[in-house]
Amino acid sequence: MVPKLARYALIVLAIVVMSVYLPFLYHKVSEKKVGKTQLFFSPVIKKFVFREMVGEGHKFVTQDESGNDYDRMTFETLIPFVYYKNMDLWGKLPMTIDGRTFDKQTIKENRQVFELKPRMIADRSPRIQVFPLLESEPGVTRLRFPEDAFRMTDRMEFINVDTNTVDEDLTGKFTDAMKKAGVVFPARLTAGRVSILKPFDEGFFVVDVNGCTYHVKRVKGEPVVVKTPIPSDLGIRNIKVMENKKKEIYGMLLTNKGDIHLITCDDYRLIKLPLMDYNPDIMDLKLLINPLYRTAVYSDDHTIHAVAMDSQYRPISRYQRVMFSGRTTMADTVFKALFPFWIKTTDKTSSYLQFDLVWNGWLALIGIALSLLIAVVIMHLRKFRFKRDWPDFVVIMFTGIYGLIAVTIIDPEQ
Amino acid sequence: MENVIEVENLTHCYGKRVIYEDLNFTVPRGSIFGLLGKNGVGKTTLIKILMGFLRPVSGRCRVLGEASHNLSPVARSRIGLLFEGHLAYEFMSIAQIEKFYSAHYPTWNRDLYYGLVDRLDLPYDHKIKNMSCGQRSQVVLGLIFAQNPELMILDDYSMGLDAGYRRLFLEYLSEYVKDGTKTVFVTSHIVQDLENLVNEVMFLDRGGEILQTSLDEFMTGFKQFRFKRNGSTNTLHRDDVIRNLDITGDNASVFSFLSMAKVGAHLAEMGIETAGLEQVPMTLEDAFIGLTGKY
Amino acid sequence: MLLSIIYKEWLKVRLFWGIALVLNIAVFVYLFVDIRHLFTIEHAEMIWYQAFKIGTLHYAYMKYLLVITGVIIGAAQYTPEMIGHRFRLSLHLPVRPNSMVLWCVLTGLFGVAVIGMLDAFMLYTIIARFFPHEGAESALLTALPWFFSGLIAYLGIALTAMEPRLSRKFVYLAIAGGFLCLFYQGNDYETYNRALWKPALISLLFIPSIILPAYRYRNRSS
Repeated sequence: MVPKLARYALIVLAIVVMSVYLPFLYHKVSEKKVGKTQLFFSPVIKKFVFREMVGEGHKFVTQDESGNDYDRMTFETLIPFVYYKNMDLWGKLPMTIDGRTFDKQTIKENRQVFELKPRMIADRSPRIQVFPLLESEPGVTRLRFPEDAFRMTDRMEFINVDTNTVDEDLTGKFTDAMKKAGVVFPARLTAGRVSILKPFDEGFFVVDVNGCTYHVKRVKGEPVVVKTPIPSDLGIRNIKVMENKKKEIYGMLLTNKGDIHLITCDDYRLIKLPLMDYNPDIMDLKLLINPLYRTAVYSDDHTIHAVAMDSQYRPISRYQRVMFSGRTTMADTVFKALFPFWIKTTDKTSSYLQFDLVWNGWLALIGIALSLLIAVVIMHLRKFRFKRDWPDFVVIMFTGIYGLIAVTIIDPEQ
Repeated sequence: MENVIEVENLTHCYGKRVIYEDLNFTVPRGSIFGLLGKNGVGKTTLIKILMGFLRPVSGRCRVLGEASHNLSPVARSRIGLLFEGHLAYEFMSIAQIEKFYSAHYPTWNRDLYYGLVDRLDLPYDHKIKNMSCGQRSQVVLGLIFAQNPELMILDDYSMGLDAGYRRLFLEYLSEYVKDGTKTVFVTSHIVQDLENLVNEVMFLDRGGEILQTSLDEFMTGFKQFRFKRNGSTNTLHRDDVIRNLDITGDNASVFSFLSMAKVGAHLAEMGIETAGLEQVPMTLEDAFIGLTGKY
Repeated sequence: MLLSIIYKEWLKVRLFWGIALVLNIAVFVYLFVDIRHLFTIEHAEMIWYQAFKIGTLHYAYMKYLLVITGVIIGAAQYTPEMIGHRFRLSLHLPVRPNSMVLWCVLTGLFGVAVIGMLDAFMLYTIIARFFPHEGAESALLTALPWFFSGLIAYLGIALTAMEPRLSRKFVYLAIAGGFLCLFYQGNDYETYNRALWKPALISLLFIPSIILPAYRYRNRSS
C-alpha cells in the first residue's frame, strides 16, 4: 500500500512538472510572430486608423475603422502628429488642419505620451520601499542621487547610504514638515519616479493612512510638503509620476475601482479619463496627446479599445476591435484539446510569479478521451489488472496526456 | 521438527535463463545446512530470495514462519546474514560499526565481537575500507556472532579467507551451534570445510536439480568404484545407476548410490569389463565432484 | 534504533557535509569581499539604486550553491550504499524498511537545511551590513526558492540513487530536475513572494515518494 501511494506521489510530481513545461514547449514550437495592433485617431479624417499584422513575415494592413485600405504613405499622412518627422521630410510641414496651422516645432512641443502597464502598478511588482529623494532645484542641469534614501515608517526616515544608518537630523526635519502639513503616518503609498535620467524632479506623492495625498519635494535641501486637494475617499491604488517637460500633468492616478485620473499641475485638479471596459490588471494603457486631440488606447491580448478626446478630455469618438493577434488560431484549439490544464508560472502583467492552474475547457475532453484510449492499449500490452490499476485511469481522466505519460513511465509494480 | 526455512515450488529465472524450476526444500531447526553447488548455479540468488532482496518469479519461501519478501523487523533481528564478499559499511571503523549494530539487537554480545576483532591487532578507529579481505571478514563475522541470531545465513564465508582465519571461524561456529537450538544455512566453495561442520547438505545443480540429504547418509550412500581402464570403458555413460563417471589415466571410476554388487552387475550388463573393481573412500569434496562433475 | 540510523548517515556525510559547509562559507566570504569592493569603487547611492530600482542581485551567484550542497550530501550518503549493493545491509537491519529509508532521507535533508539556514543567516548579515534592512529582507525572500531547490536536488539524488533500473533513474532525474527549475523562474527580486508556497507545498511529495525506489530495490527480479 505504501509503495503504491509513493508511486502516486511521484505521478503527481511528474504531472505538475509536465503541466508547466509541455505547454511551454508547445508554445515555443507553435508560436508565431504577432505584433499588437497600432491604433490612432486621425485628426485629418476624424476616424480611427490602425496598422495591424495579419500574417507571417511582414504582412500588414493599414486601414481606417470603416475598412478603407491605405498605402503606407497615405496612412502616415492621416496621422501627421505621429509621423511629423516624415511629414517634414516630405515637405508637408507646416500644414493646416481645421483651419489651424502646425509647424514642426509646435507639433514637437505639444506631443506627450503617457503609459501605464499592469506591471507598473505598485501592487503588481515587488519594490523595496526605500527611495532617494532628489534635490529638485540642484542649480545645475544634471540631476544626481542624494547621499541618503528614505523609508516611510511612523516617520519619514532617512538613511545615510555611506554609513547605512539613520540620519536623525534629516529625518526629524522632514517628519516635522510632513506632520505640519497634516500627514498621519504610516504611509499607504509612496510614489515617485526614481531616476536621474529625467528633465527635472517632482519628488514623491505620499498617500497617508487616512487616504490623503501629499506632494513632498526636497528644495535646496529643505522639505516642501503640499497637502493636495485630492479627495481622501478616492481609494488610490497607484500613482504614476510622469515629470513631463510640458508640466501639464504630474501623473496618472489609478483608483481601486479602476478609474484613471490625471493629476494636473493646475493645483492638483483631477481629470478622469472617460475609459470604458478598462481593466488595469490586464490592459496596457497609452495616452497620446497631440496639439488637437487626446487619445487613450488600451488593450489586452484580445481586444484593443480607444477613445478620442478633445483638449478638455471630452470624448469625441470611441472604437474597439478584436485584434488579429487576438483571434483563436488552430494552434490554440489544438492546445486546448491536447492539454486539459496548464500551470502558468509567469505573466507579462505582473513581476510576481503565479503557479496558477489554468483550465482549458471542454475541448480538453478530446485529449482525455484519446489518452484513455491509448492507456487501454498500453495497459492491455502490459497485462493490466483492473483491481490494481484502476486508479491510473482516474488519474488520466482528470489529467489527460500528462497522466497518460506519468502512469506509463512510472508503471505500476508487478 | 520445526522448519526454519521452507521453500515450495520456487521458480526463478534471469530473462530466459532458468535458474530453478519448482525447487522444494526445508531447513529444520537446529541443523547446519550446507548448500553446495558449482559457481553460477544460483546459490547467492537463492540467498537473495530468502532474504527478500529479490522477488522470485513464482513459488513460496518462508523464513522463521514469515514470507521471505516481507520479513518483519523482529524476524530480521533473529537472522544473522553474511553477504557474499563480506559486505560491510566500509566507511565505519571497528568501534563505530559495533556501536551501530549493537543498537539494533537486544541480545548483543559485545565481548564476542571484540574477542574476534582483537585478534586482528588493529586500533579500534581503523576503517574497514582500509582492511584486507580477511580482516574485514573477521569484523563481519564478529558482528554476526555478537548479534546472537537464531538463524545464520552465510553466503560463502570462506571467500578471501586464509586457512588460519577459516579454522578460527569454524571453531567459533562450532561453539555457537553447540546447544543445538541455532540453525546455520551455509554455502562455501571450500567443500572440505563443511565436512566436519554440516549435518544436512543440499546439492544444487544447473537448471535447479537438487539433492537434499543428511551428510551421513550422503557420505555412506554415495560411493566411488574404480577399475582398470580398457577398451570397453569408452561405452560408459550415465544412467539411473551410474550418477557420474570419470576416466583418467589408467583408471575408470563410476559414482553411484547403489552397492558394489549392484553396480558391478549393472556394468557387466552393459558389457564393460570391470577388472579390479573396488570401492574407493571419498572425502566430501571428492563426493561433491563425483556428484556434480569437475566442470 | 533510529538514532543509530542517523549515526550511520552522519558517519557517511560528515566529511562531505564539512566540505559543503566550507564551500558555502567561502562563497559568502567572497560575497562580503565582493560587495565591500563594490562599495569602495562605486558610490553607495548608485549601488542602492541598482539594487532597489534596477533589480541587480549582487548575491546572484549563490543561486545554485544549495543545489550543489544538496548534490554533494546526497552523493555522499547514497554512493556508499549503492556500491556493491551495500544498501542490502541497511535493508537487513531489524527496522521497517520504509521508516529506515525515510530516516536516512530526513537526516540528509536536515544536513542540507542546516547549511541553508546558515546561508540565510550569512546572506542577511552581509546584505544588512551594506544595505538597509529592507534590502536584506528582500535578499532572503529572493533566495528562499533557491533554498528549496537545494532540498529538491538532494531528494532527486536520493530517488535516483536508490532506483535499481537505469531508465527509471532518468525519469526521476527529469522530474526532480524539472521541479528544481520551477524555483528559478524569476530574475528579479522577490518574484516568488506570492506563489512560492505552491511549488514548496507540492515538493513535500518528494519525501514519501522516496519509498518507491527503495521498495523497487528490495523487490527486484534481477
